[in-house]
Amino acid sequence: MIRVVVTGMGCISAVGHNIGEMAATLKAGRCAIGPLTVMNVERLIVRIGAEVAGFDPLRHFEEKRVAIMDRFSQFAVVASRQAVAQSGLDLRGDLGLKTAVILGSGVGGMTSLDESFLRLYQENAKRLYPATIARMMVSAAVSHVTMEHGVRGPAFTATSACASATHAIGMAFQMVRAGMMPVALTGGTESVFTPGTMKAWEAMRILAPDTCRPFSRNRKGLVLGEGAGILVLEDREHAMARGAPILGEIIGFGMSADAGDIVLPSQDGAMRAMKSAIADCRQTPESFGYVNAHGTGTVLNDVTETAAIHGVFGSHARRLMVSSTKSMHGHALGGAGAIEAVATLLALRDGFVPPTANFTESDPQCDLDYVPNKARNQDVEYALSNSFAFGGLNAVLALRR
Amino acid sequence: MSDIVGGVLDIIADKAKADRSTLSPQTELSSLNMDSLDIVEVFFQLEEHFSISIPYNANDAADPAGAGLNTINDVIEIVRRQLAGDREAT
Repeated sequence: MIRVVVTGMGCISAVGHNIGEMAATLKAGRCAIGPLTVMNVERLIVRIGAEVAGFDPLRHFEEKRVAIMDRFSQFAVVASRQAVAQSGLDLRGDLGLKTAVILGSGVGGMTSLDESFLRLYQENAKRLYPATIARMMVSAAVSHVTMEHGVRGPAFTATSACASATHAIGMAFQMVRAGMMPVALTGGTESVFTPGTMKAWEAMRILAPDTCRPFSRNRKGLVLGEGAGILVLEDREHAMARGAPILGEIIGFGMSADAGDIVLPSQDGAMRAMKSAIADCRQTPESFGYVNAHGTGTVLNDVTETAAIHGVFGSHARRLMVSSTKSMHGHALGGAGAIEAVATLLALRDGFVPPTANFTESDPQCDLDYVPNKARNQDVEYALSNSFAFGGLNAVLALRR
Repeated sequence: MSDIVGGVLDIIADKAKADRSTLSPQTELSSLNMDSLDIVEVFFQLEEHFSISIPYNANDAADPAGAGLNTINDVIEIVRRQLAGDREAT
């Protein structure tokens, strides 16, 4: 059986523009949610988010390239550069033919779509920018990552709303494990801070007006985030042969569909995805020490996810550490699973468990150890990373130090 | 004021797929066949119909009673308050 290790990681999100900043923020338990500055908030009711503050695309790309890249693609390429550099791989040669790029995105280039509709409907523009389609297509980020690194193998975008990145990583993991290719770049990216998207989220009435407080009794909903996380997955033998840094291992993947409701979560669907990931890596539930929860901070997700964790882990649930790093980096939707996979790998590698920030009041319906507010120095061998999407599409990764 | 009651009953009857004549301000919301998205839809329709803005977070609606919503009359009162508030504001 081929083992699949992680030899590179990159991440840009509200909790940091690179892995070093991100690790420091998670260890400090610092919440990066604040007033939105990257968009016009004039017509918004909810004006907070977890944005990538101070991101200047011209510091990363030539002007000509910025013109054809939506913000979500820019994030993906920036994170992929970090990951590929750390891996030490040169993908421009023959290896690029045997490398895959599979990323998750929920909606694609919303910034570009929103700007074009504004021009068209509000400003009555006669024509739109020629690059509109190339910027907004949901697979654009994958294309830019292939071009950036010269990757010429299988490449596509996986989309399943808030589970997109986790589905993408799971697909890449399975392809490397199956021996289809020795290397895959995978993860996810999202950027949705536009008036159109924010008004649509407001209309669901599940955005928190204050901050994100997962599992805390006074939680008021989710806070949107943005960013990208990228992993370099590699056949362990291939990585060992070249003396690559081994940052962690993906050991299992589970998926399920609720076949239930378009927005309400299901305990059964979440349980089946977690069980399937644990069975896939041939471990017992008792081997796991940490769960990076989906933990959106909505009333229903957090109660349902807690019940599902009890259902899967039984009495071991009480000994598990469960935290939602969304409390710090917000909910980056289709990119969330990638940012959280990076957070989980950092936790395993550095021997700490990131906290659930903004936790101020315990909820009798959420009765697990959510590692409130302060990171814990603790070595963990095995962890899960949960993603449960609207529409009942669930994906769970099992990871190992 | 009766057009407020009538408007609220119309909108709730439509969303709950209930016979309008069986509804009254005393009807319990929990007795109607509405899920959380239906309740959000009701508030959207009320905002559009009365040109008001209703501060309502669905995270309070997992337990509608927790948000002070037990009967249709509670919804009517919210609309009344918002209409009064909007007039004061103008």
